[in-house]
Amino acid sequence: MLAYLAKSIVGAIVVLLMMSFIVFVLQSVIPADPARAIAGPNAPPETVETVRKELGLDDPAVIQYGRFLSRLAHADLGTSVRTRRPVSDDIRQYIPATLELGLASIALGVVLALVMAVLQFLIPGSGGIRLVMVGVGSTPIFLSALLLSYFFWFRFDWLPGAGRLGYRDFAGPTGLNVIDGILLGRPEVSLDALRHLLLPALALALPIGIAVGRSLNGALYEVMSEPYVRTARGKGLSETKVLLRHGLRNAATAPLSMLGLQVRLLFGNLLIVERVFGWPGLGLYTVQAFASADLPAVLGVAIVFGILYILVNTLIEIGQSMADPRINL
Amino acid sequence: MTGGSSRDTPPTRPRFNWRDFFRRAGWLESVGIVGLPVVTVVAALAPWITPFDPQLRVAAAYLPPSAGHWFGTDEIGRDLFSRIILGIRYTWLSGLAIIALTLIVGSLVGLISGLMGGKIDLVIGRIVDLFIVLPSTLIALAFVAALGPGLVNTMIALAIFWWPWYARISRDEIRRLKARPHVEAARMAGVGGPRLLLRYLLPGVVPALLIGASLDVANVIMTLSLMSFLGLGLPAPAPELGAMTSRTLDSLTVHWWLPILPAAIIFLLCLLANLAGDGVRAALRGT
Repeated sequence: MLAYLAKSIVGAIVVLLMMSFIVFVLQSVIPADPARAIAGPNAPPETVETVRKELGLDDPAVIQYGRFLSRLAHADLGTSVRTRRPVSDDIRQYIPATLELGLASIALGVVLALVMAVLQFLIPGSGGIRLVMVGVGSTPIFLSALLLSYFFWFRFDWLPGAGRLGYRDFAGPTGLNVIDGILLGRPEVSLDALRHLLLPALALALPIGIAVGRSLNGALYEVMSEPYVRTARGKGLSETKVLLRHGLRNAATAPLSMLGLQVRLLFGNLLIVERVFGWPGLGLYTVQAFASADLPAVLGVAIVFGILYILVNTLIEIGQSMADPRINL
Repeated sequence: MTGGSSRDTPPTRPRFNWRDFFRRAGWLESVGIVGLPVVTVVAALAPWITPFDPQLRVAAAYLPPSAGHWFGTDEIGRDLFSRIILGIRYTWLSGLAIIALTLIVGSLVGLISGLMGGKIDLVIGRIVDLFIVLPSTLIALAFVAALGPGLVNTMIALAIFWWPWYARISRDEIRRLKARPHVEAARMAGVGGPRLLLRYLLPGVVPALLIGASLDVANVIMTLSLMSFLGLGLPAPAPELGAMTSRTLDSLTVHWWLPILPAAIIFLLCLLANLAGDGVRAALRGT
């Protein structure tokens, strides 16, 4: 376990260094001259030169990269061109909404995957489910988001189609409205937050459910023909118990890897779904940053998402070893 | 099979049988396999086959779909069907170009890695792993945001993060094939260098790469349309499918066809590509 922790920390640091390096390179290749931008378009060349010295732009690239890293370590991601606030402040403000949406869609996706895989296992040879799976797997995320919003919000008016909460000026300790509503003893807020969550979370959960469900179904077929499953059946366990206790647990490894891969795609999809549903999180923030060419904001979000991604993958690896003790961490 | 033992009859390769190929692929998947060349032809001929000029006002604005304008008209009265045909051209052809480019680069890197072995294999393997571990969509987005939006920049950004998969596939296949008896026999018979590679190794690597690439077409199309939805593709007047949806997003409740139909066409393209990919995998596996 200790060796695994050391290994995964080293791995995470390598990936983060690589990402920070890419971000650093991207920042330096943009054609705009930051010294000229700060000094103003009419400043004499000497002033621009002084500003450049002050910013340390004429130092060797290695030193600039070192400085960049130390700023990153102090959570200094620069200033947003659009909001004119520190990018780290912006991110702190918008991240709870994205965390809430992201966690809800992963949870919903896992539930969908379980239901679909078990259904397909119990009703074998179902071409219909297979076609639905390919179909949903081919749906671009903005189409499913648009259709959900068109029917469930505009046509039937069952669920809210925009925003996070119907209550104004509600603020809780965690920033996750569903949890804060419970913590502050206001269940009606939690319920309203859940209703707002449902459509965007479902749009994000569909691709996760399909991909993980397909992989889980494949793994189930293999596991359920293993000798120990025959033994479990032989000692008189009901088929449901065999499936739940022996089947699902032992089939978990491959679908969990697929979940990791899907979380990677989730970050891109979050941008789209938050844009379609007006969800005030990091995704919408990034889309607005794209529109106004706000590079510090885009790169800051990329780094934060990168850290989240590494965290999720480490958790998934730990989950795999818990499901299957043969996997040695 | 005793074909190799007889001296007068050289070993013949079995003829490729199309009927057999489609039977193994499955009928639904065959629709996809046949659909891909059709879409490619439409994409290639797009500027000449649109019923109306996609850039000009040809009718009143916001006409709903009808017999005259199958997909209706947009906010300035341009024919949506014609614009979508042209949009298929951009998305489809750039998707195929990305696949072709990364397939060549990736499989070359994989070949070198697999053939050389040793330290070179180790170093290339580490680099490939690192690329695969990075959250690629995000970095590609940041990349395009930094270099400036545009189709070429988007394609470069995607290609940079796509080749490692093909490198891994071809490397693993080469390693597997190198240990096979027919390759060892050829080596002992003195076959080496380019001849060994071309005659004995490559034919074994190609099916795995083809399967990988055909399953990837839908992924590339999806990622491309995602980037174009975010405004990172061609600038405004150009009809890119993802961008057409995002620009008309707010008219969903009034003129539903404007955002929905371009997105639905992306869905169809991806569905065809996914079916074809599944079909190619089913047909080539085990041959």
